[in-house]
Amino acid sequence: MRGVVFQHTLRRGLRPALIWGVVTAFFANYVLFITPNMEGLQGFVAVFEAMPKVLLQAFGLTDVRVLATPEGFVGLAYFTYAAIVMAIYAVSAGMSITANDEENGIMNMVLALPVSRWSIVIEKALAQTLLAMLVCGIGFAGFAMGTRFNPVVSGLDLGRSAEVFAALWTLILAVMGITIICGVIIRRRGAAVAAVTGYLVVSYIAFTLGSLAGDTVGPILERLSVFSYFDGGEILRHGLDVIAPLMMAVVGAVLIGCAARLYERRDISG
Amino acid sequence: MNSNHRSTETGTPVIQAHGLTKAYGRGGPLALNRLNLDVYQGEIFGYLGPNGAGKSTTIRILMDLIRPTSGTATLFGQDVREHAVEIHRRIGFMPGELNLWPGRTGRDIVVYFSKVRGGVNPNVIKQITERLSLDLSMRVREYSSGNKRKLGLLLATMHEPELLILDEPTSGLDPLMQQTFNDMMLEMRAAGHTVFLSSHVLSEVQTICDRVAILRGGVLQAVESVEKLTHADFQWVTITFREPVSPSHFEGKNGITNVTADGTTLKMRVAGDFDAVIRAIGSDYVVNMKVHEPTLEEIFLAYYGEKPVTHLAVAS
Repeated sequence: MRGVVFQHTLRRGLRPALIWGVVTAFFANYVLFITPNMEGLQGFVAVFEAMPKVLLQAFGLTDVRVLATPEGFVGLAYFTYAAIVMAIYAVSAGMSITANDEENGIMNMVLALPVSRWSIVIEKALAQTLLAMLVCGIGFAGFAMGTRFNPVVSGLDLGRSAEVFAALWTLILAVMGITIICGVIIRRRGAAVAAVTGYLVVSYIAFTLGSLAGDTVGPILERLSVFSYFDGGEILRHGLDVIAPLMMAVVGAVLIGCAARLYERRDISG
Repeated sequence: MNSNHRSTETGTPVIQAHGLTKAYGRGGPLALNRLNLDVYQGEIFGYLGPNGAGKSTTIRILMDLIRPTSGTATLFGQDVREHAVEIHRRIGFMPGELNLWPGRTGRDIVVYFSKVRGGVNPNVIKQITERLSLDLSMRVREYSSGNKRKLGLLLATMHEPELLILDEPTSGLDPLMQQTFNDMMLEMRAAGHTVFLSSHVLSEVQTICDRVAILRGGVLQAVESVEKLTHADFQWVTITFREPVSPSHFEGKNGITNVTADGTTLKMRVAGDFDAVIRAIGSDYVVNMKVHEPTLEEIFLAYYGEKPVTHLAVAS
């Protein structure tokens, strides 16, 4: 019956999603709470300005002066790491679409039911997409609450903050899409996880250091990095440019569609 | 002759395989080699063979879990791949190794599966659960292997499927539950449903199946009715004499082979007429003489000839 797999995935994924959401919210609260006042932020800038450019790039910083603002500090201290945490969440969610059940031999029973393979992939992916929205929603709620406890960050625009979390959600979609297709193409879960993790590590390195090596493949790799299409601090400062998140959402959706099609065609490991 | 068997090699074919071949990997050995098979409505069909013979490969192709390298397979006249969803509505399946979400209770899984199927009668679930003495409140990880098989059986039968495909269904079931399983299968057949079960425990096939196929190394060796197989052209004869008699009096005589001696008792395999046995006894005093029909295990071994049959469980 249509929609049952979707509901089942939603129910099963609710608890982990709540945990991820609460962790994200607590982390936001912590960073907002420790955000220093304007003098402290200026001090940060002074410290960072003394650092080599390469090191700053490793922190995702191109212009240290942005750190003198709460938006810049929160963007660096929270959203840079939130993106990594959400990417890990996306890998975990993506693996639950086909790879986990197939590795555990459960898919044999699921596919004996009157439900097509593609609809299993699509229904599960839709449910995980909603759950990711919940994670981001809880994260945003925690973030919004955190701005009340520290006067330095109380001026942060909540509308723009919500936009950052929306962009974070599209980052999850893109990483989830990559994970799902890896899980479909590479049949062994361990190998699929290794492939996606490898991509994310290279992706992060390319994002942080790619532009420094302008005469090499660095800039090309940077463009292939998912992290290049998410800049929380920039959104907090200037609002959301929909192109990048839209691109990530489209990439995620296309990869999920391709995974559903590929899954129709291949043997199930037994 | 077992009264459970009936002749069903007529009527509507439910399972049809034509030239079914499966190779794992390019140039790899064939797990299944040009299998041609017809299973008819209302029969219990046993699919026999040692481990690695290709039984599970056949079943996985029928369930559309894997795709054949060549050949076609149809269930209810529909291609197993093209019409998988429609076909799966009408069949129940239990894999050889049943794996389910370990943290979920049996009830959770039954509810989920029945929702996906739709239209499952809760009374049937209750009835089968009671019959199998299955506790659905336990988590899957807490089930013994026997209880897991029972849960698998419930999931395969709760929607009263027209065709049951079972891979080694009774492994792990105690003898009492095996009897319940046999009864359930016979009832399904009585209701006009079809059962296709694979096994390497031959006695269960002998008890309930109408026809059996014997598979080895991916090649179908024979398809025969159990009735015909159990009337194979040889019998075991056990003769107890008053004084010990040398096996050499019998060995090599027309149709007599495998003569063994145990004190005053001789056991021999006799193919064809008994005349050679009577003549070989001659003037020796016979205290007792018994004739046994060969078991399906022995017939099965006879099919394999002198080649070693590995992993063949011969249940008593």
